[in-house]
Amino acid sequence: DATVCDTYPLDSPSYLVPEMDGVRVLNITSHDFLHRVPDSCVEVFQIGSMAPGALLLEASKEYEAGSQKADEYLREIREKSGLERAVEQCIAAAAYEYEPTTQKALLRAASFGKCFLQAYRPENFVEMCRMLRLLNALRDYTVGLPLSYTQYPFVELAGLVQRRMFPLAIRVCELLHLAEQQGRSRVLEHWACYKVKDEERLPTLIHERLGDTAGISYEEVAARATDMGRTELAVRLLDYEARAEKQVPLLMRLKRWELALLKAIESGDTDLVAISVSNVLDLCDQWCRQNRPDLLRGLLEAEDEHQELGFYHIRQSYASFEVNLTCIPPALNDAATEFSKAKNDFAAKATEDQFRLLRQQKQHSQKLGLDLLHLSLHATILKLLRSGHVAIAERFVRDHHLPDRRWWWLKVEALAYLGDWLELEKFSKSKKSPIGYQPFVDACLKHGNRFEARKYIHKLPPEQKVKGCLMAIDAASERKSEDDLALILSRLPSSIEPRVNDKLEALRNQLGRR
Amino acid sequence: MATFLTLNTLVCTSSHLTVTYFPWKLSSHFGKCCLESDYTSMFDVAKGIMTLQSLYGIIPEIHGKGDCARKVADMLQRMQKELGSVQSCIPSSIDSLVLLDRSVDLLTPLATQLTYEGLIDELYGVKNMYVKLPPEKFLPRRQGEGPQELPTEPKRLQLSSAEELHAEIRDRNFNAVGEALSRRARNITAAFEERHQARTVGEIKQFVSRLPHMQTIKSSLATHTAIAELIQEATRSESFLDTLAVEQEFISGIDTDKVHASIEELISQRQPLERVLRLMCMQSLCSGGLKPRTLDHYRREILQAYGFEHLSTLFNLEKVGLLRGQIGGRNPFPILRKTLRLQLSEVNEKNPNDISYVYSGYAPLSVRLVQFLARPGWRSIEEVLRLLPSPEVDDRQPLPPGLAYKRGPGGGRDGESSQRVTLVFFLGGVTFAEVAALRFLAQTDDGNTDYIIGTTKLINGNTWLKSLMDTF
Repeated sequence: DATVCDTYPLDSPSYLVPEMDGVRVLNITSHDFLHRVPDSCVEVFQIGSMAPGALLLEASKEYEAGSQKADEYLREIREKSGLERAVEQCIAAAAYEYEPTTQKALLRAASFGKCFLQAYRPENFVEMCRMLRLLNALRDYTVGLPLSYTQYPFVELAGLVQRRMFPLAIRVCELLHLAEQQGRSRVLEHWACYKVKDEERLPTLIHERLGDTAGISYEEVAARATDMGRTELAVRLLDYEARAEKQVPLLMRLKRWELALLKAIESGDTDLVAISVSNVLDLCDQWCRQNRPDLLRGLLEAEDEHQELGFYHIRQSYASFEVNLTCIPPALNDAATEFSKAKNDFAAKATEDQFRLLRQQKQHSQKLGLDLLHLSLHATILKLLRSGHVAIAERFVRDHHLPDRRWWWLKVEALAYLGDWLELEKFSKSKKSPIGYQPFVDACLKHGNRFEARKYIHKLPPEQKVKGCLMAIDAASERKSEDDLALILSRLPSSIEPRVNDKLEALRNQLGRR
Repeated sequence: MATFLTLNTLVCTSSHLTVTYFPWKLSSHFGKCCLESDYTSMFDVAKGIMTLQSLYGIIPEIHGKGDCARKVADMLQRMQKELGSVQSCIPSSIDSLVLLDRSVDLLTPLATQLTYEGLIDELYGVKNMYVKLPPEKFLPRRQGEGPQELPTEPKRLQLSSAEELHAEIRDRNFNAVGEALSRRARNITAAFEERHQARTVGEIKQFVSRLPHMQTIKSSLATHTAIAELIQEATRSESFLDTLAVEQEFISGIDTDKVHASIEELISQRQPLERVLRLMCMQSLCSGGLKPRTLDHYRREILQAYGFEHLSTLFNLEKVGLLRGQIGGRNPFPILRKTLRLQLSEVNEKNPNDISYVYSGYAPLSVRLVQFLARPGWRSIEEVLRLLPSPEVDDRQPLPPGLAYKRGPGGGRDGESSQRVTLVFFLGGVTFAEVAALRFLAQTDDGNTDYIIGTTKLINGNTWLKSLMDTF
């Protein structure tokens, strides 16, 4: 509690700067730091001190000089069993020394003493070495941050960064084991920000230096550039930004719509695309919602997408089909024109065909009182045949080049549907069937006429004959008609495949038992 | 063990990864990507994989084939970068990721699946693992009663791998299902018979304790027998067999260059458009594009029979590459078929020794690619890969330091003979048969790889083509 008064003479006008652990005295020629000598230093360096630390320092010196006295000192310390304390004292004293040689001597002593200790944890020692290295570097006159050990926890990267000592700052980060994001990345960012201020060919330089270090925010750098009115630089920097959601908004702020949209699409983040699109043009917004297809048309026309335009015309006309029938034909015409512009001959031809078909359908619908509109060609013809307008159906066939085979299919189906077996037989004999006679059999069976089916089974090629017979039998057995079976059996030559016979016999027996 | 992960709440219930698959239900799929270049679903996939990585560690190897695969791989890279230094410290339990774009293998979904689950899907359509079946077969059979009233509601069933029997037969070729069912039936009958042998009270007690389990098996046996009967009926029909025969012809390269009579017949009978298109597209793919005359004939037939409104469907198919004309150069399919052994003449359906059993002779190209990747590696088939369109992906993701050589619980259990775990992600859909083939790969002795299967959608040929259809 006793107040100690000391006089400290100053030989020139000075500034006194109070610090947490002392006072700085600055004048024109010198920079002194005045503070209380810490206990550890007193113990080690006090003249005549017998503290273990002091003894250890002596021992280490003697050891280096090759003198056996080292051993004596060591014994002395060990007698007091204070070796561990000695090491601690040396380490602690080193912290408050400013002269690297003294620091070294102390640390060497500590290291020497450490050797004689079992299970001594070296963390303190290592930590101290690291800190001293750091403090010494900062105390260098080119840096000029003469921090004391007590002030060490308050090392501010900001100070270094403000002094533009970027490499040193990065080394400090490494030494302090700072996490990338808190240390290195921030320094690099500051470096870039600083560079932004004064150089032209920066983006590449910045990128070379920053690379893709994790956690670098190019966006921030670019934002800074923007603030300084250097749009071009900002855009170029943004190109390196990895996070699209940071990149795109800034690009939009810079009114680089196209680039923003491009980046958004690249990222694949649909939300981002939507945001940028809605920002880019009201037009596209509308288009996205497909509320105003007329704009879609404009877009397609501008882009020369003839094929899509063709489909667009058709889609439009069919969409309004219910409301207004008259708009389809002209739309089809437009579509056909677009298709031929797109060199899609098939689509052009198909559209023209459809155009003709619609016209014919309309014409005949009114005349016959049948609703043919909007049916496919196939369905149209089938409907005509089923309602007995064979001649008109044939006209459709001719006009639209319906393949012969499908015509036969259609006609067989329609005649069987109508039950016009006479006509069917006539038709089958009109010329050799291009589709074979299986369809005749099928159609007859489908519409429940087994007797007619029999007629055509004879015309089947041998390998299909059996199949036809089997089908007839199946049909008969489904109806559980013994007579039918008997009839089929009697009709078959006995030489026919035993498979059929077996099946028939089995069935008859089965039915007979009931 | 099947683990279902949904994209929103990616919850994984199994700590030990086995062969599993999880359809991530995404609104948009194949059609959107290929037709409208809308890659939203790819973004969702990438996000999903990122979430998976945050749970199971970074996947060090990424392989893939196809535009979408490249896209997803790029997005993954970008997202990894965005994460910055927030590194996961979870050891990797998945060794590699295979991204397969459906556009690389357009053929497989078109072929009729012949596994049990695949056939259920083909015939009745599986939705979210539920299927609706005609109710007649599921009536409790009682004798001596008058005709029962038929329920009008379709029977709704869940296909769950938790059901022991279903898990056993779902991946089998349908021809092997009957056998498995009858064996099970014998076993269960024998088990019930045991009650007569039970003499002491202790034995009876033991028997009774087994009863609930046996009852469950019995009822599931009844259900599956009924389903099998339904399938049997359908697969015995002539039209089904015809279609199969045509498919096999196309894959073996027979008659792929001219208008096929069976297809014409289907059109004339106005069979469902998907069925017709499936065969047409198969022909186009197997012949490396149809001859212009054949193509135009087919297209005109469709417009005439099914209506003009299918014009844009046809062009969608062309855009995607399913139904198109010949473009110069040789037809790559025969080379693919030979090198990748896509068609095998002898298939053992009951005790399969190759993945081709799932299509009774055709080995799905997609799964073959995965198989070749595992052994001996894609290097060996570089020439074939060049024949397939679109870019290849071969990326490495750096592991956080310290984790590089450690292996998670998924592997490294027995040191050297560690199981590799591969996540196979089908972009644009996967069929049940392909899933079955992959599961088969995982089970074979020489393959020491476990597969996790992910996809944007479970598809079959019909649903897939429907998604590409667009009428005015």
